[in-house]
Amino acid sequence: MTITDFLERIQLDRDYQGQIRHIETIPAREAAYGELARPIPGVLRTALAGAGIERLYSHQVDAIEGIRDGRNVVVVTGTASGKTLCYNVPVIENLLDDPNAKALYLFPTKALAQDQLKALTRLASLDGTLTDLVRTGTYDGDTTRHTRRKLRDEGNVILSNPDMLHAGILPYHAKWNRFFKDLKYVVVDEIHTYRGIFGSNVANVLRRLRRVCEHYGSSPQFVCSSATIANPKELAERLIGLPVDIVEKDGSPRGKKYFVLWNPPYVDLTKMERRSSNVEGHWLMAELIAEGFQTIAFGRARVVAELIYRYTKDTLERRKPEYASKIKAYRGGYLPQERREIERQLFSGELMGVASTNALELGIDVGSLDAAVIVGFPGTIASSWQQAGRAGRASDESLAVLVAYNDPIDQYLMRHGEYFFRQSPENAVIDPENKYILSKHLRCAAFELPVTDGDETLFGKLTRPIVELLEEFHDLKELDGRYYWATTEYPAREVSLRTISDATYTIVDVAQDNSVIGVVDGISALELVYPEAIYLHEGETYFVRELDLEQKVAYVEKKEVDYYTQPVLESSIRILKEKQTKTWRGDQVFFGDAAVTWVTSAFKKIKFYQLDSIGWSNLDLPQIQLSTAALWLVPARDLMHEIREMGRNPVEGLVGIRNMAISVLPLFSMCDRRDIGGIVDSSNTGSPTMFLYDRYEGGLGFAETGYHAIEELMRGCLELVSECECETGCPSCVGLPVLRPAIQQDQEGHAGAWPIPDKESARLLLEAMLAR
Amino acid sequence: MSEDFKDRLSRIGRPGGGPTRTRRKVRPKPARLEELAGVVRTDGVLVVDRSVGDLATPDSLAETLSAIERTGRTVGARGDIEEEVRTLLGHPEGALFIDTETTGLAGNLVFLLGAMRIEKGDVRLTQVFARDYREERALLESWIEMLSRAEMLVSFNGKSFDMPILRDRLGYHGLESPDEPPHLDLLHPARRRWREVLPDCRLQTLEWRLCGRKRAGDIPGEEIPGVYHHFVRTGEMADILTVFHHNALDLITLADIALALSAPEDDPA
Repeated sequence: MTITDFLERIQLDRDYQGQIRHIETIPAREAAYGELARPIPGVLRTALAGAGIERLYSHQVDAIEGIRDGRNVVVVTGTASGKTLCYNVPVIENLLDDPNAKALYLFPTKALAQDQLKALTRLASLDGTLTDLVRTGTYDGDTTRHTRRKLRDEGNVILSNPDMLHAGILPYHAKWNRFFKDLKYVVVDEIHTYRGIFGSNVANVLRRLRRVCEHYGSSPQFVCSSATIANPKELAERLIGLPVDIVEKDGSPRGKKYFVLWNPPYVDLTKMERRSSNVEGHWLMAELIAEGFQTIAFGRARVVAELIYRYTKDTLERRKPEYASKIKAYRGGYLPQERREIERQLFSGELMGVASTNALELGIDVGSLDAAVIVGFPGTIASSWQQAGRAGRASDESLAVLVAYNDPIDQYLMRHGEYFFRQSPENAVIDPENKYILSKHLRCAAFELPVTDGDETLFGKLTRPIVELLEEFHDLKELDGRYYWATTEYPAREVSLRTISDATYTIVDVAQDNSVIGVVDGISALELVYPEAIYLHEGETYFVRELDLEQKVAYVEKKEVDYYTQPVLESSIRILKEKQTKTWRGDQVFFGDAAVTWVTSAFKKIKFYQLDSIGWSNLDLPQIQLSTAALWLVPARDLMHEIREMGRNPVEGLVGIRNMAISVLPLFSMCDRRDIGGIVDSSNTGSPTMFLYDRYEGGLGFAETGYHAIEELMRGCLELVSECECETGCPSCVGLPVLRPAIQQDQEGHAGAWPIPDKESARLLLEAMLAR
Repeated sequence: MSEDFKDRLSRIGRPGGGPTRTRRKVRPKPARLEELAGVVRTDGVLVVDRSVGDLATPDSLAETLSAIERTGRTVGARGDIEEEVRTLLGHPEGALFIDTETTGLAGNLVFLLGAMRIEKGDVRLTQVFARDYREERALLESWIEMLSRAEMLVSFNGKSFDMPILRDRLGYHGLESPDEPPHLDLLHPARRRWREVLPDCRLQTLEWRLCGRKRAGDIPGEEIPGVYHHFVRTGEMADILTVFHHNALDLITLADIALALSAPEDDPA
């Protein structure tokens, strides 16, 4: 059976009710090869031939030539296009020339570093000279002391991650002085993962790396790789702070691929509820596997992956029992050995299917599969393509299916296949000069080497004012214009690259000897682990017994409950500084600094599946204050008046737009709905105003992107509301998305998901705004 | 910069709040380090060179040292003494006893280098001190010079601490690491010898149990980095002089331990 046959067959199934909303055919592509100006040295050529590589694809040639020319390069090609060779070849051939040279590879996860270590040692093992030459290993939290010393002293290709570089290498650079002196290449893999807060931190770590290298007299070249995003070159340049050449013409061959948009049907005529996406997803997966297609399913949460796994297994027991034992679930939280074993079995074909979270989205090599079933839009178009890329052989046909959830963006995409396939993926936004982030890294930088005037070129114009403040606080001491670290603190310890808040809360299980089961940043803690909250973790429900605000610990215990809890937030916003303004179609739009205050004042208990509210309790928690960046839109008074004349409430309409805008903005800016908050308020401007802000201290550029794309943002909202099939408003349009178990979302400025603001008011207001 | 931002910045790494810090009370005199007895050089780094006898040190010290010289002559044939210790005692004039004070465990700088040697019956103590962060380089240059003259290094835990950090700092400043002479790290023979009978083998435990000395007015090691930063910032003398004293005592105890190691095994520690 071919994929085409399968697609025909499934439409004849009695469960089929027109779920297929769009089939995009991505044509097959022939391999394009290239020739290097100067051939690869013999020993390396032998090793490559041993690995079955006789010729290089055109993009590999482009990248290698760029690197040979001494340029910084970012390679943006598809999954399984042989990106690794783009840097392994120049690194190894340079080692043949200069055995003292060093390379540092950075991966976003330890698992990826392990995977790449395997690939690199396999390649080096194919030729005796290379085996002796390439001295490599992973240097991370799992590395033993002994191996660490050996790698520091002898290693020439070190595989690590940004967190380790930040806290485990740079502060100890004197121990690494020989390594840094000869550091020639820095590989930064999967840079699309370095966005938002993580990316802003990593950009600063890389600046610190560059100044340490400069101190020891080296100036390494950077080689980056990225999945497809809208702005890989810009992101790479922002991350490393240097000009970068882009290589994006993929020369690897591809079989034909079908990408299907699949919308679960309504369960009844009220058109409010759709058939469960997990059930639909498992059905597709089971059918595909039963027909002999090796399939991966992606769920947005661990619990979803587990559910799909369980359903599929059950169905296969009846449908094709011999395959029922050939599927597995895969997610974070499994032991590394278990994961490695699943990866291996997938690669070897022993497994027919795996239900995974996005843990398998990053480039771990599991070979190429026949089909990918993506249950729920993963949040970004870039991520969707990454997951879809797991399916796709060099010659055979492959299939990717996106199964929609019943929420705004998923439903929008179902109606706008052309948008999904034509729109370039999102911009990855980072802001290395966010002053909160920057000041933490300047402390780390000063600990590593005194900060001088020259550092302004690396860290930007805020460097001096921040450094002067730090001296005022006695963290630094100025001597001859150089700012030295002057305390006994160890500043890298104060910075976690993956969260922003100074205060991280620990979540401990009282039933398990207070073992730590998770951490949550201080901004989210009070909305997530307030007393009596139900905290969802690895598909289990935990009850929060106590929240210790002093020690920043939430004490939880496992408890079987049939409800989840939803915080009720009260928030307010105050404009601090207007930075930009423009008239957009007669309305004023602003961008600037704002202070947002909110408090979790109560919570509701909501029954799983039925979503009925079954209880309400008040809370007494402190306020959270955030000084951040915001955009605000002030609809002209006559517009608002017009809507009122039509018998509708324009403020309710604005609330509806706010709800939609929070969902739509992530389509332009590579962020998550949780990264953005929104408030409608009249007290700042004297007239109803819609605010959207970054939920990060100092802002990270999301609201700013929204300010510049206000037209597209509002158009997106109008399309969403006009095309939604509901009557008076639903969670797929003006309502905030219904909280699903295991996906905690904030319900900012809105007392829960219900009541839903009036849909018609929102639509009329948007139409009026866009008609001018 | 907004007040709010300043406030937040001031709280990074200080859970207790603002940037204020309290130091121990200040005792006057000498007003400047350069007035210390024994200062021989102040260009780029402060070098204090004194006879140990001139220090306010335990009375037993002179005895220890003459004992070392005496023992050295008789120890050569004794098989129960570890070989390196025997070498030291046989030729104490070539040995350089070293102890460094740093601003922390790793990634930090060396600000005080104490080196003691026996010279024609006198015991000379040289302390090289970086009066601020800029002077570390000159301190290390002095170190290179001393190292080139030493025939043997004697330390306590120096193989794991002092020498690696000195090497790292040389690397940091782009200074060539010179060849190192044999190094007797007394921690190891001391452990072998007294592990069973003493609660632990920290330097000050040995000092108390072997030499019967307890330190008064000494500064705990973990406070030393803070004292140094405070000195750099304020120039206040009292606490940093305690560090000089601490460093000197550590070196003297080193000599005591070496001597104790030469005593027969059944000697009660």
